[in-house]
Amino acid sequence: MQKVFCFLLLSLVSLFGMNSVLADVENSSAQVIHAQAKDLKYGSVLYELYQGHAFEALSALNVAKVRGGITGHNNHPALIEGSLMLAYGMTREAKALFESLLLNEADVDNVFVSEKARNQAWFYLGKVLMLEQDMQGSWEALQHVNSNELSQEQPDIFDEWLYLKTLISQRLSVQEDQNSLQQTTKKIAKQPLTLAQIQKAYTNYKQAGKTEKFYNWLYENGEITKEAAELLSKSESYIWPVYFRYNKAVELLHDQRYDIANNFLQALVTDLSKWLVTDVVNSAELLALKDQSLLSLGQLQLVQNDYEQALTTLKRIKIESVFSDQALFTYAVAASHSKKFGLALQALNTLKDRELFSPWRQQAPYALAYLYEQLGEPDLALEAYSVAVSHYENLSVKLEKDQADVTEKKVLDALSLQEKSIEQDLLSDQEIVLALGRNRVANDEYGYLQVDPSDFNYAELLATEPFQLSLRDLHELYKLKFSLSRWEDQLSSFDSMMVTREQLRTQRINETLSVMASQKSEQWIEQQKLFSLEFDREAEAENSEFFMDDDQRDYLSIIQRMTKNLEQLPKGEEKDNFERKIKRMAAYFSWWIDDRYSVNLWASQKQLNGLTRAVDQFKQRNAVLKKHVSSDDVNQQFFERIKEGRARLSNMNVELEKNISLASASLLVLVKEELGRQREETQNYLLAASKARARLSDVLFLNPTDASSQSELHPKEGVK
Amino acid sequence: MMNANEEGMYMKTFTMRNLIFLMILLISLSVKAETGEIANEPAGNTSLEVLESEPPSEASEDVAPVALSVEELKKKVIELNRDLFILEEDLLFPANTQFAVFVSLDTGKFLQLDSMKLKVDGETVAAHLYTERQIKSLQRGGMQRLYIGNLKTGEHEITAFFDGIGPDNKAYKQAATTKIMKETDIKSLEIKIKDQSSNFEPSIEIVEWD
Repeated sequence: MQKVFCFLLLSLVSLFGMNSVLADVENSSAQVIHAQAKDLKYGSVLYELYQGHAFEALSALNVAKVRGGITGHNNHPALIEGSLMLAYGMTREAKALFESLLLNEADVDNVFVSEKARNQAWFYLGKVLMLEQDMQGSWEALQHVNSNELSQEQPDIFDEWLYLKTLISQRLSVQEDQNSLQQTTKKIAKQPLTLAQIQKAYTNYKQAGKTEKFYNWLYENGEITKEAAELLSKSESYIWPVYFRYNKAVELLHDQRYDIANNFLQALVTDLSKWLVTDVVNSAELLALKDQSLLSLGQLQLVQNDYEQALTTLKRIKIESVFSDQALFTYAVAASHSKKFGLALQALNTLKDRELFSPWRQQAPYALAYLYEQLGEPDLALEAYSVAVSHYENLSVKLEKDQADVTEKKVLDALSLQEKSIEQDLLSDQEIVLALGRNRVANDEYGYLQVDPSDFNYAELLATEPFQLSLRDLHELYKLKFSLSRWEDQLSSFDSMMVTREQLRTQRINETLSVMASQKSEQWIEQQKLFSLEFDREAEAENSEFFMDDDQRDYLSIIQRMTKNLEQLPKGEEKDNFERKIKRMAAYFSWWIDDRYSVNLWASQKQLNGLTRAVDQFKQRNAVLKKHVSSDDVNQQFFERIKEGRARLSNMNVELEKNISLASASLLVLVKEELGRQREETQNYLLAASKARARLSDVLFLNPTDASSQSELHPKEGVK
Repeated sequence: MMNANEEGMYMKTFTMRNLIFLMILLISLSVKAETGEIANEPAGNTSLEVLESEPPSEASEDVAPVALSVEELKKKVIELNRDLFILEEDLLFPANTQFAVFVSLDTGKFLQLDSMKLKVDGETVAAHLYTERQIKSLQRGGMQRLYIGNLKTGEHEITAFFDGIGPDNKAYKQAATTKIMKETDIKSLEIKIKDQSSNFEPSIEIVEWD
């Protein structure tokens, strides 16, 4: 029975206590970050995060890290990353990150993580650890939360925090009761309270207007934990306390304190009925809770042999409720005990005609036949037993065949995946198909798929944790595979792009080489070299004529031309006069170039230096160009990166395929086991129905008139 | 306490969990019916007895390594995705020509954003029609990368247009233009759509990021 409580509690914990991690992550992030992002990369991450795209946001965050990180937001990006990991199902990574951030003793002044953000992070870490069933760790993390600040800043989270603490403290105290550990969060009860004591105390406290002290009184008497008392008295929400109350009722059932449990459940149903009228927003949740409470109450009343009350209670469950099948069967059992066989028959017939939940239907043929027998209708009973035998035979054959032929496709075909709303513009062509691994498949915050059985042989299996986990893993693996599929195409396009680039490059290289050839660059370089040598030689010889400037060259040219013209003149006085004049000019010229020698040398040197630099630059560029022509480092690096990316992608795909095979095999094992179990169960029904048919046939054959009385001698084959 | 979506998820999960409860109940009942044990027991014992029939723990143990492996694979896939993203960006949008434009929305009280359009030197390079979820994401501080491309060095004219429902529920359009100088490093712009309390209208502004 202990397992009963733990299992239910765990289910409720994971269901109700932690069912909105992503939503919380998104909401909390809004409060963690500054109103406007101070870094474009961070803004992009938030854009993906707030749309619930955890994978894209994580990828963007990782890219940002490589691109120099995010500035201006202290450790908040790391907190966001932890939250995203949590939302993406990377709980171990998230845990490590949260712990490294929050247990950073250097940040005593909360510089890197504000008090508010720190508070929230502890809260989420507590959730992560709870998800991993580390109750002690979760408890310690939740204890770090500053309750005053949380209650003022975020009352909604505060209520949930109280609820989580309540559940964990309950779990820990259960463990401590079992293991006699030192720390206890629950007072040891001296003597369990009676219903009368509780009712009296409640009345007294209520009359005194101190209802909250009633919860403390319950705590003082070891009925509830301190945290539960706090939750019940401080929570401004009624949803979380309702879940606690239901859990408490289950705990009381477990302890066989039926009167108190009955009272608890009745009070809960009354409150839920009241809130259903006023709370339209949460009506679906409240209605489901109410139906569940009614079912538990009805079953409890059955245990207490209060059949009439059980019938009244179960009648209140709506026919379209998810619990109605179970309620119908319980109703049939209660009616049978009340000797209201007609009502029992009606309930079983209703159940039989339903398509859902084949396990209930499996019982119905046998139970119907039994009821006919109880009603004193042996002929009808015999016919019904025959129908039951036939039904179980067919079912057994089908199950055997299904078990032998089970494949992943068949399993997936037998499941009806629920679709989540997703922006149409985000749907690729592949996404149009609703299949495992697609984003359109609805799942809860922990990745559990929202799926209904289309083949009801799978209904029972589908509801089990291992199958849900296997299905979730398979879905996640397919999702990973699809998330990488775009890169296959992209890398191929990169290849094409690189080939095109290579072709363009070759073309440009040819053009460049052609231009370089036409420039006759080698010749110019040689000339510069010769000129430089000549310059050095003439400078050493101090040849002033060599370094003449343009004016001097013009002047020399005039003298030379005049001298030449003079040679053609006949001898005489006039010629002598010109010769003297030219000599004076030549003398002046000689003085002039000597006088300007150093200036001209410097000017020439300057020009030579300029030319040398230009040639050197040309040589360098030429060398770079030649290097580029001969090797292609940039493109080569890209080629290498593409090649490496392709190899990694290929390895990843192999790894994914391997894991998909494993997950698929694990799923099939579960299915085969389940089908085998169902077949075994059906065989038992078949055996029971066959025996009953044989017995009744014998009785009818031997003494038809005594058949009805004889049948009552064999109640063990019946269903009550 | 919860929005409609959250409530929906709540309910679906709730339903599934209760199916677990329901189905486990069934297993035990069926077994007992076969062996006829129920007839000898208190009739209403069903719910209490059946809950002990937990799913076999061996199956969970079988599944655990796969779950662990899935988490490791997720980490590897994210790393690979990151590296391929960077490769893609380096290849398609080298730093010396890269030009990116982001959109941010400050509160958006005076505007219900419908679409954005971006022109570079008179040519439309990007247009986007927003979904409700994207708008909410922008309103909460997210920044959308509207465009990433290549731009030559030199002066360019950038024009941003937005459409939406403005004050008094009327169609509202506005544009902003700016000239930028593209140099050899990455150029990033932010199109900021803000509420102007002075005239109760939205305004648009293009800001250069260093």
